[in-house]
Amino acid sequence: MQLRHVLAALPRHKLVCLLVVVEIAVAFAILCNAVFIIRERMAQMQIDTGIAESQLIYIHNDGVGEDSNAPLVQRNLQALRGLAGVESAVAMFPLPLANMSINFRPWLSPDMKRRGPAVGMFVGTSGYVDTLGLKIVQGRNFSDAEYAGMDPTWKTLSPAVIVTRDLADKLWPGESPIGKAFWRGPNRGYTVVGVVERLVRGYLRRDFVPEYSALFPVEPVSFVSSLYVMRVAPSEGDRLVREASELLLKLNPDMLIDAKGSYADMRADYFRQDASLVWLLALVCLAMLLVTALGIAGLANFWVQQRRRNIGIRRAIGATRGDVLRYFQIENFLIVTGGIVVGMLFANGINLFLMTHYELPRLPPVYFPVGAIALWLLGQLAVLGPALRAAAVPPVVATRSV
Amino acid sequence: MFGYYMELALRSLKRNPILTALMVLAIGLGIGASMTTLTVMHLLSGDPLPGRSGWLFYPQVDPKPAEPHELPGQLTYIDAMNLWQARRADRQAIMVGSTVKVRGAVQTGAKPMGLHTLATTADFFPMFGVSFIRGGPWSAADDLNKARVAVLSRSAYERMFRGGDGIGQSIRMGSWDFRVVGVIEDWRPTPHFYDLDRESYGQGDDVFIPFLTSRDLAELGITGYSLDCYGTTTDDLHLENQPCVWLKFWVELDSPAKVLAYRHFLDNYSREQQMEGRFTYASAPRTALPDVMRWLDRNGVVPADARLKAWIAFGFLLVCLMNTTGLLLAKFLQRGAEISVRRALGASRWQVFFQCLVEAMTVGLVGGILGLVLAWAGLWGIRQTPADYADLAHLDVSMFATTFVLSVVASLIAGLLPAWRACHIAPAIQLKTL
Repeated sequence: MQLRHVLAALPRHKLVCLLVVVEIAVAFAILCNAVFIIRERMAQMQIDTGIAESQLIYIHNDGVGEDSNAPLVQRNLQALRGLAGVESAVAMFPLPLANMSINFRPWLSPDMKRRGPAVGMFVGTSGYVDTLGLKIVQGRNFSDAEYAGMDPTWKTLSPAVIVTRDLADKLWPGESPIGKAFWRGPNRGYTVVGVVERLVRGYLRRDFVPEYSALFPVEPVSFVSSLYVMRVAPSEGDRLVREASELLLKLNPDMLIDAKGSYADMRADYFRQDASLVWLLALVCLAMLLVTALGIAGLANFWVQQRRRNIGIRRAIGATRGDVLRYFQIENFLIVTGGIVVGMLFANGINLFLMTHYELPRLPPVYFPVGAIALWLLGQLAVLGPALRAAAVPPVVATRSV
Repeated sequence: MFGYYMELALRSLKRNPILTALMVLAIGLGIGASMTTLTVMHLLSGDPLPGRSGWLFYPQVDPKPAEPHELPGQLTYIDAMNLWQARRADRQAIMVGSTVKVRGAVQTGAKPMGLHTLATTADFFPMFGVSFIRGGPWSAADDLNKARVAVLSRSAYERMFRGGDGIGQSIRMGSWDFRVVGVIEDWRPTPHFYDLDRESYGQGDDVFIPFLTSRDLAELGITGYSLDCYGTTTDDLHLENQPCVWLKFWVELDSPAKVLAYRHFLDNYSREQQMEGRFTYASAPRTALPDVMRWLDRNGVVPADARLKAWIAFGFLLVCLMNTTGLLLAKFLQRGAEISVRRALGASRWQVFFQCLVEAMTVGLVGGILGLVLAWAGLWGIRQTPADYADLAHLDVSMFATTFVLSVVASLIAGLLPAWRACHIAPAIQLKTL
């Protein structure tokens, strides 16, 4: 019954109605796509690096320079281990999400014909697998004898390597990776001695799988002299970062410490750009919802004003307050629904365009009903005030001239 | 007359202060938020060298054996040297960067610093329009003589010499001394287009040395940030004869005819190399000559989602404009009666038109000014975030003007449409319905 009245009245505001429908459609399309991006980004920001994040602190410096200075690394590590509260200290390269990474593509046969995907290289001194808190799920950790030097092209001399579960499954699907080999050069073959559950590489790239990492053992050399990593109790992190850097500067007056802190700081630093863009997008979404709500409320206000007399007449011939209230609510519902229907087409179109041009994943369909409910609620909320004012119009208005 | 219209407009707006505030707020929010977002996007996708980038090209040739792959983004030493020595462009420069430990003069007691160092050739500075504050670039002869000279950025120079005169003094890189010949104004092209393997929006380079010198002193380890070897390598420092692409090469070509000629030159060069057997594939030459913007685009330097965000900002602006238009339309469409009265009392169509225009423009202008304030506040907020590009976020005048004009035009259309309609109704008929 109400519906008929509403439908009869709508064409009288063709232009404005159309405008609001398009506005809601665009808002809907943008909202769906924006929330989708925000969620994708947030998922990436929550990536599990596989290491004992809360217990690690680091000091990054300019290194010892020539290889002949490498004994300094050993001395520095000894000194760091002597600090009260430091459970273990190692020199390594790099940490996950440290924004630096050396990647290589392993050959799977000694004749260098078959090549695997890009793998992130980790090297570290004795005990670094335990310091990072990595869980060995198959095979064993490096033995002390396996920590050896590096050649001038930054390949370790020891033939032992530990790979991540994901990399092992990729290179040797369905087989036990222990004892399998890959090559990084004609005379640089590596044999897998162990598998760790998970380790994410130094930086994330769209074309790299983050979990494809390989760990190599190395003795203190100049290549690993820039990054000291210590495992400490989480509550003592701040104090130990300070004490460790003071200690290092005392031992090495020439050292240049360019970054230090807890691993959490490093991780936050890696994602700071994403974080600021997520904020920006979220604010834009919020502002858009606000503007849309303001627009709906404003229009409804005008319409109530314009129709005071009509409302009065309807009240006079028997419509209840509830009828008038529902009239405006139904009208709003219809307009918003129109907007949502058109908006779904828009959202899909935008998403298809982005999928083909920018390799974005497909917008999951669940965004449509959720977005629709959100906009319906927003519309009803915005129209409630004006609709209540309309319901309060007394029937006596009908008898007065405008 | 204008004053009178202004008064009418203000009176009409004052009659409904909440709705007027709503309209102004909607325009202001729209301009403010989309300006903030668009400025950031503009920054991230912007032209690193406006006015110059159209003449700068990045020659690509493919030395890799036949197997489906993308055209490599760097050159081998042999190809880079061949193209550089051919001198077929107006200007050309090889470049490759690394972080090198540098010390200032020993007598100033400066601490060692890890600095972004670029090994390049003399044309680099005039080609990219880099401005010098002290001294000048090294000469073409220095390139060939493998001279140990260096150009510093202003900030590196100030840190190393602390106010003293450093021109002619030496700095130490690795275990070699380099004589400082020039100081450039800190230069941070955004994005860092000439070497995209570094962080694209980070700091600029601090030390520049001649490319052949860096080859002479290979132990400095300047082999780029993205060494890509496609065959068996025997040495990762002396890369002259290794099957590795690792060098960037830029040329300047100042007319379309020269660009065409250079394309032919690249194709011929590739064919020559194929004939000599250095390039082992048999197909047509695989070469390309993108300009700066195309090169950035091809490398996806503007991340796909950054572009998506720009679209979102535009969409948001659209929503706000439609919103305002809707509100103004609703407001003015009620005016039929009032306009008829004015017409009946003798106002001409033009006068009615003009009156509506003044009112709509008032709303548009006030909204636009609010938008300016909000955009300014938004950009201030961005500068407080720790993102790499944060300190670059400033109001872009041309972009602001565009959005401002858009908002005023939208409100004008919204104001004029009902006025135009009202003007075409005979006053008598309108008056009867009152």
